[in-house]
Amino acid sequence: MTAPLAGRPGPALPPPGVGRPRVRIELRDDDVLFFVHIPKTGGMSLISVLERQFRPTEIFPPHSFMGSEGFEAYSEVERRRFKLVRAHLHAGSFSYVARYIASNPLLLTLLRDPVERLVSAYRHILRHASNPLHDELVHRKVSLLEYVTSPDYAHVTANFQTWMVVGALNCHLDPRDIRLSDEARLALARQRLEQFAFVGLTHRYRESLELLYYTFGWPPSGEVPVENAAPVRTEREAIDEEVRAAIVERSPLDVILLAEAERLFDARCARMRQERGLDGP
Amino acid sequence: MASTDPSAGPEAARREGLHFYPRSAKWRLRAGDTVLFIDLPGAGGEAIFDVLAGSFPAGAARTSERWVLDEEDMARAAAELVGARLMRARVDYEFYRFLPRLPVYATVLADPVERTAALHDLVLRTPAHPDHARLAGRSLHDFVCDPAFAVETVNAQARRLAGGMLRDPASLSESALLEVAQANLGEFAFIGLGDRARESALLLAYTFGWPPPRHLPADGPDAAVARRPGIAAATVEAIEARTRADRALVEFARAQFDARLRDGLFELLEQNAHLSGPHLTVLADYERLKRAQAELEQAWSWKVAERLRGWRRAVLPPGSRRDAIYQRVGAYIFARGRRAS
Repeated sequence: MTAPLAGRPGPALPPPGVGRPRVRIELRDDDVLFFVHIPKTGGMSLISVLERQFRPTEIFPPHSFMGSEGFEAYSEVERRRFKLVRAHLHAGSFSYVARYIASNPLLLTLLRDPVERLVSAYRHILRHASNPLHDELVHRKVSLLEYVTSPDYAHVTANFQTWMVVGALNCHLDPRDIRLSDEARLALARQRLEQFAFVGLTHRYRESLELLYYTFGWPPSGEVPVENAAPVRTEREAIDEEVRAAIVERSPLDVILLAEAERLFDARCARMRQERGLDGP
Repeated sequence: MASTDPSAGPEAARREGLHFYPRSAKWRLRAGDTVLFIDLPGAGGEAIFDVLAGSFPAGAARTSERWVLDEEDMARAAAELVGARLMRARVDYEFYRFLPRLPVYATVLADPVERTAALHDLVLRTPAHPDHARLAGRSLHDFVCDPAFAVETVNAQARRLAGGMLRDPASLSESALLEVAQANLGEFAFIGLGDRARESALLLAYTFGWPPPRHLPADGPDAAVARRPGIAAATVEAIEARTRADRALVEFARAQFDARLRDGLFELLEQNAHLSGPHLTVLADYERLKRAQAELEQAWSWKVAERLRGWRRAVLPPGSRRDAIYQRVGAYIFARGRRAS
């Protein structure tokens, strides 16, 4: 376990920007969008929005964890046709997107409060027998507190969102590598966030959709889809204080990352409003 | 996945360097991609950039000659480069903030001592450089030791590739600076080396799927073979003390370069071998290269790589008449192949 960083200021950065001069990105014919789907962030709902923007043949079909064989199952001609990848990938598998689909895709993601996300993930595992961790958690009667504190599950619980964000662009670097210090990992995560074409926030979902539509110039839809949602939504206030503290202690980078993402999100929304003022409604 | 035994502890593991997944040396450039060549002053990247620019349509490549001192200079450099498909600027990794999309990155690194000495020469002979007047008449040792020049002399390569070259150098520890620079460099489409400009030019062609360049640039000085004369030991020591992250970064880049070259160079030659026809000299050399390749495939190592490079230098001494003929014949063959295709 690396030293916690919570409460410690990160490296000095220039004033928050949006990562590029304009929020709006004019999509080109050969653009590929890669949605970095962090589990239990509301990604399935966003995917349903993304899928509506593309023809079925333009969407890379698999949606679950895979290795190179998942990509090699398609011919090069087919792979060149794909314009949207929204598979759940391990950070290390991101390199397959670069290798098989596009070297420089436009990246999108959705981030969530790390406490809510982790509790939601735990409940999701218990609900779904097909999840690889389901049997273990059920048979060993692993409690939520044990799940978030045990080193056995640290690879899916500690700083998981930071891992996914850093790994998306630095897809050839193993982001869980213990040789990457927290200081470097955080600095990289901040750069990567700016480099994402779109970063949404689960707790500001409507605004996120508005930003998404604007960023890529898609016609907005009034509908807010909800897919794969838990029967009972995980609210931070309803979570046991001890569990909350344990998660924050073990995912300090995720806590900082969320704050950075909120800054970026606010800056992009403000810029979006400015651009709309310039560009018309 | 990470191969490190966690029981060895993070500090011990960190000394081994970061773990990277193997990546392909090839990069499929798309029609709308913008390539950003980060110019590290003194690294000798000009010749490689010229090769790069030669593969773009006329007018698509643009250079900003601006010496970047602050964020406003960055913005001005971006304004100068608007619309270019290939841009070269003395900026850092975070230049993406000034571009409409994330660029495809390329750069050339150099031995830190060589680079610092070359930069000192460059500043002295460039009146437009902001430090020109201040440095006039002062030695390399002064240049290195005066904190006024720290932006250019203290881990300047790592700070440019990590991003934030204009920020307080203390904002990141030296080890984190190196890690961030390595991580960013791992995503570069192309990494060249000033002292291996010829191989860099070939690797460049392979990376972007272009035919080999007609003319290969001359290699820069190989610091491992002979240090540039006239640099006092104390000055070398002073430079080394201020460029520890740069030194480690260049070694990392060399490993990446060799891995990509191993993937690419021989495939590049192989793809173009059928064009050789009657040019027996080229074919004979190619056959010898192929035999060397077989040896490389069995046991790739520095020693073998060095032997191959030594052999190439012996057969085709850089700058020799034989080398010039080789390049002319090669250019003719490839031009003929291009016409045929």
